[in-house]
Amino acid sequence: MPEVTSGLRVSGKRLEETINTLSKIGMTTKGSERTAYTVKEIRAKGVLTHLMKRIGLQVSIDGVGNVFGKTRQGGGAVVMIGSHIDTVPGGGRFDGVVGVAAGIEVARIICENNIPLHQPIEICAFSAEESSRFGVGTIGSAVVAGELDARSIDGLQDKHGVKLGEVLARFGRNHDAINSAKRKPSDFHAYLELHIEQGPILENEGKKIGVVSAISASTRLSVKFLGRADHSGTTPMNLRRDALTAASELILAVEQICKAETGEVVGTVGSIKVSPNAMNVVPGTVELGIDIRSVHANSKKRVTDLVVNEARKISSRRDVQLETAIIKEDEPVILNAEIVSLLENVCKSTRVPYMRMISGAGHDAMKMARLTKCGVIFVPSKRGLSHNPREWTDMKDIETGANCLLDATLRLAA
Amino acid sequence: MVKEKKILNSRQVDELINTLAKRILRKLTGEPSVALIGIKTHGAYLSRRLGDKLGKSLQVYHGTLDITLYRDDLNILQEELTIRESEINFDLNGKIVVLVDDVLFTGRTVRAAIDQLLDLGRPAVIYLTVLVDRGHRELPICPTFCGKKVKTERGERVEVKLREKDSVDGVYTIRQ
Repeated sequence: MPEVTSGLRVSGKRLEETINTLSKIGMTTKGSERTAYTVKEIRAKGVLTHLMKRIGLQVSIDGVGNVFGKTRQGGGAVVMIGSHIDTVPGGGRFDGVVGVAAGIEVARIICENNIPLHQPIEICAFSAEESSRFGVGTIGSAVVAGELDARSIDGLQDKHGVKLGEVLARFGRNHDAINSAKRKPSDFHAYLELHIEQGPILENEGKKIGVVSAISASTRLSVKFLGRADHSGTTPMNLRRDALTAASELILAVEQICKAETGEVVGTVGSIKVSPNAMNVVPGTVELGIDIRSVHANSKKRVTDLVVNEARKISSRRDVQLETAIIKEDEPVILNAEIVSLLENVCKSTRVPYMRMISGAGHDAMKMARLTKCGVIFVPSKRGLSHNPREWTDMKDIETGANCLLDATLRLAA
Repeated sequence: MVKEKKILNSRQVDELINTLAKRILRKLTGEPSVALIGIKTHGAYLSRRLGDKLGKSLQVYHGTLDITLYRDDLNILQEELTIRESEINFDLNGKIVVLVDDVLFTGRTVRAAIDQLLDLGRPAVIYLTVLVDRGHRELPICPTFCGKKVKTERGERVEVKLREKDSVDGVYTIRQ
């Protein structure tokens, strides 16, 4: 193992135990099931409070169920180490959990060694980072950052029609409690997050650490083609107004437009609803869900405009009607240059092979960046798999990432 | 018509707790420490009392469990799904745990408590102590230390009162 600049090192064995303890809750043969605010996720948060108290952290839970554990020494603005422990349905065992477990290990090392701190360290597991339940992700950190309030939370509901506001009310959390979860920039000195990469780049490049310089944001677009449902046997090809063939042209166009864009944009048509979706009926209506992401706001905007334009052309050429709507439009986040350079220096001084990179996935850090200077450390994901039961990161890589987190925390707080 | 019958008075409850403490101590001869974990609410009071007696002979770690989220009849649409902050502020791994409850009935509460303990860590062993075993088990669970076995009807209730909460010690059967 490369040595860390502070001379302190995390215990890989304890870190592995913490990851196991948290990730086994809700583990099934089809992956991890800790969807936000379900019994399994709440049990896991109960276990998390146990782990935090065990090492002497002061535990608190805010109005949206974010769990915090703070060191008792040091005063004023905190260095927060955060991530999440909720999962997508059938998720992996590392997504989020690695960051929270590493935070606990860092706090434990600091407490055990009585390291004097200028700034307290606060570990956090944010609620509902995954968007799989309420359609919106990073809910816990968005509330802390003041981007979501109790009123906007009332409007969110899951596919069973259960409103997030009702879920929180069952927690005994009213509007005041939710709104009081918002925190001030002056509460923070910095925010750090260790996360699995969830993509294949580090593995392909043979690097152990990714120092994230920017987090891409997505524009989510709904495109609906309204043609005419007809009998598949009696309607000649030239008289059809097939919504699915129109949609097919757009799917390919999204791929071409993104490839042609110089500013690194990725575009995905990830959902498609065909109506009536019967083999003997010409498709009457098709709705596409399109996700366009980039760290460059201008490129993202340009691609979005081109996709909408292309949809218009297809609709007029094929005589189908078109409805487009932007469901969500987030701004990319450029992470703090000082922290990026601090993380790079930690890697250099410990001779850990690293690279600067962007994050294609959203993380709690992008919300926390509204409040304080943020840094994100990536560790490699085997074959880039994530949101999948086969998600994997080697323990020695997690340990390297946790040591980097420890060193960065000490440089910021001690 | 509610029929309440006192089956153990305050002195008898105290004697039972003394006897349980002695038996636990005998079982744990040579062990340096024990983690007493009471199932809320009455098991928690009982556990404290046992701890006071055992504390003279060995190091006692105290903890309590709220098993709500681990119940097998949890109604997720009605229960308040609050994060139950753990009140076990020590490492459970490798510990000798004595789980404490007031009444053992179907065994389902104990099953829930064991599941919760195993989520929190990996104790070396878990023993079970109950003040009263009223029978009617629905799961293969057997107490390691039992204060008193009481024959009851399935529909009867057995209520343990402890002075910390009820201002009096006593065990009652209640028939409606």
